[in-house]
Amino acid sequence: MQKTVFTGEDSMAGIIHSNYRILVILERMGIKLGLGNQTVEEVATQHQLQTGALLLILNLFGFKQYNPEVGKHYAFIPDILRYLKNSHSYFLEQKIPSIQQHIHQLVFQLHDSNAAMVELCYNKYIEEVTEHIGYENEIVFPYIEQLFRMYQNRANGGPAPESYTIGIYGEHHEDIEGLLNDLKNILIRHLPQKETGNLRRVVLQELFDLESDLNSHTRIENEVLIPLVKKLEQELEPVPDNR
Amino acid sequence: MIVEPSDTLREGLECILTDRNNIGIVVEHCWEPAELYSAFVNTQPRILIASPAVFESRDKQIKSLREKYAFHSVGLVYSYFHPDRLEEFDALIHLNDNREKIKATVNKLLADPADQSGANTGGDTLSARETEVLRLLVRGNSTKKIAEALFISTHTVNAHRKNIIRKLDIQTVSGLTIYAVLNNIISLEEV
Ligand SMILES: [Fe+2]
Ligand SMILES: [Fe+2]
Repeated sequence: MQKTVFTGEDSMAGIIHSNYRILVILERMGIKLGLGNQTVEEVATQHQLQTGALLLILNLFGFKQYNPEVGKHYAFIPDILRYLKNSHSYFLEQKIPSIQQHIHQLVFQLHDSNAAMVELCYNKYIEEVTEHIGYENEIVFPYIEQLFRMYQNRANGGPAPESYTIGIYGEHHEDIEGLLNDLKNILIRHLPQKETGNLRRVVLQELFDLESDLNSHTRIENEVLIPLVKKLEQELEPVPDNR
Repeated sequence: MIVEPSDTLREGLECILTDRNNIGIVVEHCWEPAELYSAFVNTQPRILIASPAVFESRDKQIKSLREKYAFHSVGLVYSYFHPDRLEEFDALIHLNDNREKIKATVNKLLADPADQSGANTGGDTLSARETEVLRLLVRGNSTKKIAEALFISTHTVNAHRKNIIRKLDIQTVSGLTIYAVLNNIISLEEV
């Protein structure tokens, strides 16, 4: 039967064999290869990660149908943030520029002045993603870190910081993968392949890859991070907040 | 499509479901349950959202819609209903669900592969009217403006929009702009 969820007893090496794209998760969590027969739980313990947090990430990445249950596992927050931050760097520093370069070359090869529109839109997309990620890195994540520190030192800590709430983030948090799917369809359906060489296939593979990576990334933000931080806010601030 | 007499609920929900960047989700609404059948046939939505009470009072009509169209039913629950009555729904939206939860609920239904099977039938060439709507759309006009310019109802504009999205399988305004330029519907200089 097809697996629908990874558990702590699964072999980490086996998981990679079942879906090699999970290698990026290892990179983002600082997990080194040479895994032997270690299970997910053993790998997590060895790298001082929360097994539950690692499993949430693996499962959201591996299975579209997976429904995360976050409970009150506030201890997952640092690991989740680490994953999200390292994904951000990967998107901005590696994947997105690489696609940009390949699209630029592809458009050049097409010898069609209208095809420049693809590049134009992709460049606009980069600006939007950079802004989106910048907001998360500079406003949202530091706020969560501050909240988490207060939770840890609760004995001498005060109420939640008042300047911001995770609800503000939730309300403004939009999807950023829509254009990627459109670009895929434009390259597959609507733009006749007049160029020679393998660039189009390369760009398409990268778009598929980035889209699904971003998809699970956004799900972690919406379905794990936001609900978890909301509960933490309530815990630190028993007075109901109607903002 | 949302069938809900309360302005607050209907418009609030619509506001949550429509995303600035993604026009792939077109929300139709109908405030009068009695008009459910004709509104449905006109717009042929993929999801029908209404209170379980509406589903019950329009039981016969919904049954006959089910025979003709494939759609998901979502119960909008804002008062107590016996759990048995909620079982028949594909998903539920509760009054105290937050924005992310509601979006996730709807997106999950829209991502259902069984639902996409019919998505690309009917060819991918746009009709002259659809091309006209697309031209106005990528020039940044609102549905209302497009309706005024073409002397048609906003309902019809939405129907055209949905057909464009379905035929081209492009959901964002940026994506549609690329398509329009590639096919000389608008020129690169206009963008
Ligand atoms: Fe992010
Ligand atoms: Fe995000």
